[in-house]
Amino acid sequence: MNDTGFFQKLPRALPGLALIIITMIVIRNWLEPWMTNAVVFGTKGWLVKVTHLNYILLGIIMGMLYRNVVFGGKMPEVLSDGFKLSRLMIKTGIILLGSLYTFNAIVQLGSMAIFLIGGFVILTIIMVLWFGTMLGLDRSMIGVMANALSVCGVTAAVATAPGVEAKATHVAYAIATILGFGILTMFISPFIGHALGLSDLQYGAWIGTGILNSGQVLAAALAFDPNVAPGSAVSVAEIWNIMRVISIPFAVFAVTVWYWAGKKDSDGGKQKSLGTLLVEKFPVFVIGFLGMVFLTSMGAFGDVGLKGGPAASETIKMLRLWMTWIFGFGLVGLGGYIDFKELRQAGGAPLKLGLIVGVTKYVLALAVVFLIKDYLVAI
Amino acid sequence: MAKTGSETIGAPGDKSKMTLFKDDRAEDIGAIIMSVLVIATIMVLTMKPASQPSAPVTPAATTAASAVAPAVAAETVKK
Repeated sequence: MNDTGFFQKLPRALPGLALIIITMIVIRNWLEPWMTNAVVFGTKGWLVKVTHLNYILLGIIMGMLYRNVVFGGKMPEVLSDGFKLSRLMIKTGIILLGSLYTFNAIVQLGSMAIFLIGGFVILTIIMVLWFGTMLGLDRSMIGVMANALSVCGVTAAVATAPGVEAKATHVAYAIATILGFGILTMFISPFIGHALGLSDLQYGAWIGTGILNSGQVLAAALAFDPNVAPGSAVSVAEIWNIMRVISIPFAVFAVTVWYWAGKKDSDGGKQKSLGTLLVEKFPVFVIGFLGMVFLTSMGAFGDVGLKGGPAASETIKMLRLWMTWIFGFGLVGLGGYIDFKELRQAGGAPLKLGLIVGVTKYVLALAVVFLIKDYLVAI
Repeated sequence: MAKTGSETIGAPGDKSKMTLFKDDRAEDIGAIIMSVLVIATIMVLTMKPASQPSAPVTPAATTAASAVAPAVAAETVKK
């Protein structure tokens, strides 16, 4: 395998990157304004008011269309490297999102998030381990599914794989199941949120807990409210999501211990210590996010624009505008990774396990958010 | 088992990776560097131009040292 460096690969990424950027420019400058003003069924803006389609969902849909319709299920070689930059853009956007918070707000909001996220992660892992064993699934498959469904989708599935000796097919099934479920929730959540009259705070807490994949949490939050500001759906959902991402090393360790504890002695043991797993699997971009929160708390970018306080500074305003573009580019790329053929791979028992646990978590998270709505802390 | 970094569905080959980077860790660091570049660019773009001295600039005030002089003089007058 020719593993060349990032900067050597970068020129090859330019065509795909250009397609992503042009797509988002067309969506934001022409398609979205046209949809806002178009008269359908005698109502101006029907497409936006009823379907809640905004530049985020349109971007994902365009990415999906490129891959599955325009290019017949596979990204052309010339474009594929550009689409590989999508996760870099999403992570960059999440780091910049740190400018929406101060440490004070994180402590207030985060303590509730830690409590709920922790509870949901532990309960989901237990549920998958128990239910997967009942369904007679392979232990490696159960281990991968446990973290994929409890923590953070694709990243958790991939991070767990080496620890539980998972094969590529196990990872593929787990990813296909959670992505299929995630795509469904990504599109229906804004409708449910609006139908139930959820506030940004309630909606953000719900999807930050109930949706499995980080990119899909982001998309569902921005689809509900495209506004990027303190207290908006995306600011709440992402802090809850960050809490979940931080728990990856601990969840990987717990599931690895479960896997090896039930393994026959003859198979040999190669358990990794918690320290090793923490060093290997800790998502470093979270440090960037916390650094951004620190700089914002110190006033490095001027006023943040919190409710009741002074208006946001020019730097913060521009930062938020750029963030929406960076997320937009990243989510067109994410759409380009949704392959309908691969989603069809998820079938049988793993799909059953994924759907049962995924739906339970999604509905339970909504119920819990309703129950604790008076205790949720706004920022 | 071979280390799995950031492969998408399918085989863990270079072509099936979801990133241009070596692995997730390298991509995380790349995102931090890109964020720093974005912030630096925005700070430069939103930087307010340095305030001009209110006194008309004389030909002699074209050097940095003499440009400071009127401000110093103003301070002295205030005292």
